[in-house]
Formats: sequence, C-alpha cells, structure tokens
Amino acid sequence: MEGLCLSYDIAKGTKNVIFSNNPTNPDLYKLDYKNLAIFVRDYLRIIKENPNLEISIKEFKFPNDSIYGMNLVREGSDVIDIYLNSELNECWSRFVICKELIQLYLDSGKLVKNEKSYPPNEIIEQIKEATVAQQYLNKIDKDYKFSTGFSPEALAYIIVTDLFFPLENKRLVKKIGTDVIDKKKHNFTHYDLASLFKTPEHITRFYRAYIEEASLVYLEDMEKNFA
Amino acid sequence: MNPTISQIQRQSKSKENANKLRELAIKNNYSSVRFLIAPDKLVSEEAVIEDVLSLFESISNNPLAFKEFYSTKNI
Repeated sequence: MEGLCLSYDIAKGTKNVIFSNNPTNPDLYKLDYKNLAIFVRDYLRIIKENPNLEISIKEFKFPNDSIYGMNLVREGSDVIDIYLNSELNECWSRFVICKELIQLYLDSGKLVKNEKSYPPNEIIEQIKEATVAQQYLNKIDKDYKFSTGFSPEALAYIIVTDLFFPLENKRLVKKIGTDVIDKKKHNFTHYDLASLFKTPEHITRFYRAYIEEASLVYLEDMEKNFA
Repeated sequence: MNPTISQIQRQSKSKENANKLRELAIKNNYSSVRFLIAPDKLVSEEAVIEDVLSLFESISNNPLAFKEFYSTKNI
C-alpha cells in the first residue's frame, strides 16, 4: 500500500524519539506530538539550512468545521505555522498535529516519488483533489487507487494512521480487534480500543479496515529481514 | 430543469470565494499549503474553500490574534 513503506521507515528510524510509553500501561506506546514536533523541526533546520527555524501550532475556529488542520510554509520565514481546529477533542488534536508534522517532513525532503506539488495559484485544484481523495478514504473504499499525482494530504493521512499503532503494539491491536471486537466477546468495542491508544475512534476503524492487513505483512517482512 | 435563484446565488458566491482564495494564496506567497479535511464527515469543496479563505483572511487581518497551542521555541 502506498505510504506504508514510509511509515515503517519513520517508525524504525525514530523508535525512541517520537514514541513514548503510555503512563497507565507501559506496554503500550503512543506517537508523542511534542517529541515529533522537535524531531521534525530539527530535520527541517538541516534540510532548509536554517538553524533558527521553529514550528508554532495555533488554534483557529474554522466556520464550517470542514478542516481539522492546516500547515502554511512561507519561503524565507523562520516560523512554520500549523493551524489546529479549536473545536477538536484531545485525541483528534493529537492526530491532526501529527499529520501536519509528518506532512512537513514528507514535503521538505522530497521523500515521496511522484508527489504532486501545487503552486499558490492552483489552490482550488488542490482542494478539489484532496476533497475527493478524503471522501474515498472516509468511506474506507479499498478500491480507490492513488494515481501518480495522488493527493499528498491523503498520503500523510495514511502514514500517520499507521504510526498511531506503533510496531510494538500492532499484533496486540489485531488480537483485540479480531478476538474481541469482531467476535463480539466481552462487549469490547472500537471505542474501547481507541481509548486504549488515545486515538480517534474513526481512525481506529479506518486503520483496522484499510491498513492493518497490509501493515502486518510489512511488519513480518521487516522482522524476517532483521532476523 | 433551470437552476433556482438560490442555486445561482450559491454558485456565484462559490466562484467569488474561489477567486478571493486564489488571490490571497498568490499575494501571501505560500510555498506550501497543506490541510486535513475532516476525515469523519462528508464535506463539500465549497465548505473547504470557505474555511481556507476564512483562515487566510484572519491571518491577513491580524496575524497575532491566534492563540498558541504549542511551540518548539525554547526547546
């Protein structure tokens, strides 16, 4: 699946940097947006050759609530701004910030082959393509194929969703999901699984339906290669 | 079937917003603009355009008015 190899590269290379233990359950890990922000800032300082670069996350109330987060990069500026929808709960805020940070990381290093870039005068076309891609992802449409000019926003969304379920916990998520939720044992729901990992329920469902299977294949391949 | 007056008004407003947004994006010279469209609801392109435009206008009007949630400064 497009994006998963990048997700694994990021997770492997930053294992002790961007993830932290869950204080109530030390066996569970979570993507830590503060650690990720510092990691991305330091990476961007090198790539952009700007030792003064900072990342600032600000709140904004989007009138239609159609956008959960945005990042704006201005050439020559020492600050990159991320705008977070102020109406979101803690789990969604964490997810959105991480998505925008990963987006900055992907964009700056040109890590994505064939990634489409949009000059400012094409912002309407960008919005149209991102809206269509997101609608397919919302419906959890496995048949949707990203073209060579796929939406960069959708790609970052897939990568962050995968990173929200760290390598160390992927099999546990699969076990809970299959044994308990799918077989309806113990009244355990997707909401409970989401609470365990401090993840939005929608993202938990999306991960399980769209990403989990392919992600576990990657995990097994990675373990074989390192065995 | 001919479009109703309210449909024509909506289309006109939408076109006006798209033009305004394009102008602001060019004027502010962003080298990159990225966003996350609400993943858990159905939204229209028009709603997204309105939201992006609203943010761009707020930045143009008063860039210091935003409440900071987190910053990497001093870390």
